[in-house]
Amino acid sequence: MIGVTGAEPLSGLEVTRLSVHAQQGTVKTLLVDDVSFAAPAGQTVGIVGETGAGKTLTVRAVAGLLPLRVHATGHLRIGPDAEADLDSESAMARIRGKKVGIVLQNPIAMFDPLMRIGRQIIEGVVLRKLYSADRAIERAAALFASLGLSELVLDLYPHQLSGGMSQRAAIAMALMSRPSVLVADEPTTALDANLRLEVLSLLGLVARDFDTSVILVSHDLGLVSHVCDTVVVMYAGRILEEGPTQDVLRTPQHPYTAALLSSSTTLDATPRRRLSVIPGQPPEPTDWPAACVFEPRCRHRFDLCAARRPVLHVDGSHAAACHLAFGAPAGFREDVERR
Amino acid sequence: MRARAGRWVMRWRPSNPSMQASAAIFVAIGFVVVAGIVWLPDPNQQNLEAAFSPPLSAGHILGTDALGRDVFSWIASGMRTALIVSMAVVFASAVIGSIIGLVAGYIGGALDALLMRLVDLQLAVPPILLFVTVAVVVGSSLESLVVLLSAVGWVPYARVVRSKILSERERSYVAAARLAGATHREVVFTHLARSAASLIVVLASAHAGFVILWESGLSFLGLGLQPPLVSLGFIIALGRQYLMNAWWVVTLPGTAIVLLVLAFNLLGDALRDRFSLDVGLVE
Amino acid sequence: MTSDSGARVEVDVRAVSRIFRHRGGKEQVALKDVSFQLQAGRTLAIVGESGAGKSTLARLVAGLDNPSSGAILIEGERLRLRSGVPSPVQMVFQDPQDALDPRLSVGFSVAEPLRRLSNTQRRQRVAELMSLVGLNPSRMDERPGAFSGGQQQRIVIARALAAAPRVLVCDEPTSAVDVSVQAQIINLLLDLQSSLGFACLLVTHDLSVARVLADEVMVLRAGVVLEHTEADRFFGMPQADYSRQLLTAIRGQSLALV
Repeated sequence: MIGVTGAEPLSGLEVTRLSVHAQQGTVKTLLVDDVSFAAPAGQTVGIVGETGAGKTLTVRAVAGLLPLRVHATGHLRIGPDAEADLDSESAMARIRGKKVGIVLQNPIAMFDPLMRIGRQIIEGVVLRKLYSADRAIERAAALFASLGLSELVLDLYPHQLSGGMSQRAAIAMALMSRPSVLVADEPTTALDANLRLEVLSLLGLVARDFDTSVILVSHDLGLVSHVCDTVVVMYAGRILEEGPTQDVLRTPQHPYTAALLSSSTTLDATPRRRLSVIPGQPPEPTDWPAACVFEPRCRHRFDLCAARRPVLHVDGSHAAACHLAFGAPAGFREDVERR
Repeated sequence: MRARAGRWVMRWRPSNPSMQASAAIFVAIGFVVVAGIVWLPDPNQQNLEAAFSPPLSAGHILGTDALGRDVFSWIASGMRTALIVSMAVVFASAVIGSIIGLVAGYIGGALDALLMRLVDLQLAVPPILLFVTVAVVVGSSLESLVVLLSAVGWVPYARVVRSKILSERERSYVAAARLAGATHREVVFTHLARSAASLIVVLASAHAGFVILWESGLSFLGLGLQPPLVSLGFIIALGRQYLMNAWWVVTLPGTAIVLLVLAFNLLGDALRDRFSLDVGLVE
Repeated sequence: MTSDSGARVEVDVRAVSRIFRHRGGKEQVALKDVSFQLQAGRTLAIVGESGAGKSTLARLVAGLDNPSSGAILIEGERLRLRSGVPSPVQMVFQDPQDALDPRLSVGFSVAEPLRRLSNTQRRQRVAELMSLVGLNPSRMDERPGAFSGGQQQRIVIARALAAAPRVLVCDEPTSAVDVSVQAQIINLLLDLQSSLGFACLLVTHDLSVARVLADEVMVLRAGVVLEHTEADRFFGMPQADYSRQLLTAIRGQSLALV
């Protein structure tokens, strides 16, 4: 399976042909187009893309948390024994909340401001009779310890926690039911710059120590490059490139990835010099090009690009959906080197 | 950051059934009121021979009361009165309350504290007590009723507007306006007042329903309007003793009140839906 | 007044402190004895943790707040926000959605500083400004909600430019937008500064953004200036331990191209 770097075959999460569409009356709009990837247990996968690329919808579909009038199709497999078709409500109900934990962007918003943290954290698992209240508190305290939070935090109210603390508490809450998959959607965007690395390292720790598949959604390639084993690049509802992080960043095989890399700011940038920029804007879901979805903004485009949709070209565990993929040894890296 | 898809889904708002229902009822009310002005007999005209005619009797579609007054005419005029009173009261309350709320919210400090104490004072007085006292002292008339109801009604507007102003005041576009050289008056009227507009309108539609109920209730108790002014509450009070024999004298005006209040409430619901903001998928 | 190098000093901050008094008598020292000068055409990046006082300093320089002690001089004169007159110091805010009145057209917002112009002149100037920031002028009657986050931020910049500012204060101008849009905004700021010559005060927690934009860097910690040097020197070898820590932390998250 693409993206898997030497892990056991049936562990972790496997997403096959996931599509998401919004249904309003008779109008059906495709928002995520035929996405497949794997997140092996113990590893971190980063889903990267601009706003509107469909990354949030993809992970929400996996968690079973799509909003009204938005539906998913495709297939999920979590571990060797849990499978579900995304359009089957009964199958998803068995998975939802138990197998997939989710952490969202604004940690404070995940908590009821009127309840103490401890009570909220155990609420879910106790209601579903996964633990007794006492056992649940013990588990919460143990999770807090491994995430670097004091047990005393359990007695506090959400507003008494700092941003970093509440994000750790949110991660603990998501881990209470021992999910096989932990999804973190832009978990550090609302945090201070110097806290981000800590929280991200925590996610890496969760993956390794708890043998969980961690999926990190972000628009920031820099963050993903430091924490994730595998990266998946999404654009306009599709996967354009995926593979081991260092491979993708060193030798990007899709022009979009290369363009993203070269427009990122780094500490080694030349001061006062313009950054390279991807011209134009990502298209709205109703305007997605039929063939290659990045073609209108691509500097390497040629006639085939607007005519035929590129298939996923594969080289080991690195794949890219571009007609020109894997044609040159350095990939599209020359874009990157032009800093 | 908002997921674009979230914006997509919420942009398609369904056609609003509350608005349609509300519009339908208002149109019906409109017909009745116009008929009352143009075509129906004087509601105060007594016709003892035709007293207690049931509905669908000759010349009296909805029957007559103890004194032979035509119930349909009474309802038409009563609705007209109710609408006049409620529009006047809502307008006065909204204007007074909004100005007080704007001033208190924007200027803050001691002025805000003073105005809010006024609000507390207002809330501390039980309305019924106030109305009874005033009715006894001044007597009941259309003007005194409107003044009284407005004197009590401005409070929610002030509170809602003030609270909105307090939060909008801190937003960066207000800071930007000040940097652009906007005067205080410009900030208040161009930006802040507009932000409160939808709240005021929704509040007003609910308030109108309340005013109608107050007017009918007070008139029912004899503290509100009396003939020659026509009030739905008054005829209900009169017909109370004949409920067993002439149910239409109580039930039909009562239904009219219900329809009036329902129309305003539905309008309020529809407006609240229409003014509600986009909801993002994330956050 | 001019500095040694001859360029005009636009911003002169002299021993500025800002103390907040909370209910119950508690005092919070947000800024203590901050001094610096900023010349036309140059960008000073103010960096530090949240709570260090960066935003407070930004608001003081913009004139939205008054210092408890010390003085802020813009072009040699004490800064005072006057009703009816656009300020020579304009601001670009962090959240473009919060910075635009959602009920008014973007043209109206951009035109707010253009007080003395007639309607026609105003529309023309708005069209020029919108083109200057890379937006289609024919969209000036649309509301902010019709634009993407990056476009909204350009509108905010256009409005700031309408006042022909001598100083532009940018408070985390790229934090709320995507990485790819961030590059566009950064380029826009670079171009505009080189053609219009304003001084720029950039508040950011992202040192990699500072790397691209800044001529000078100032580190704030708990309201106190820890270090203030030329950008090249700062990024090469910062003086203070704290600065070194900051750089290491940020390096740990910015793009690591092996």
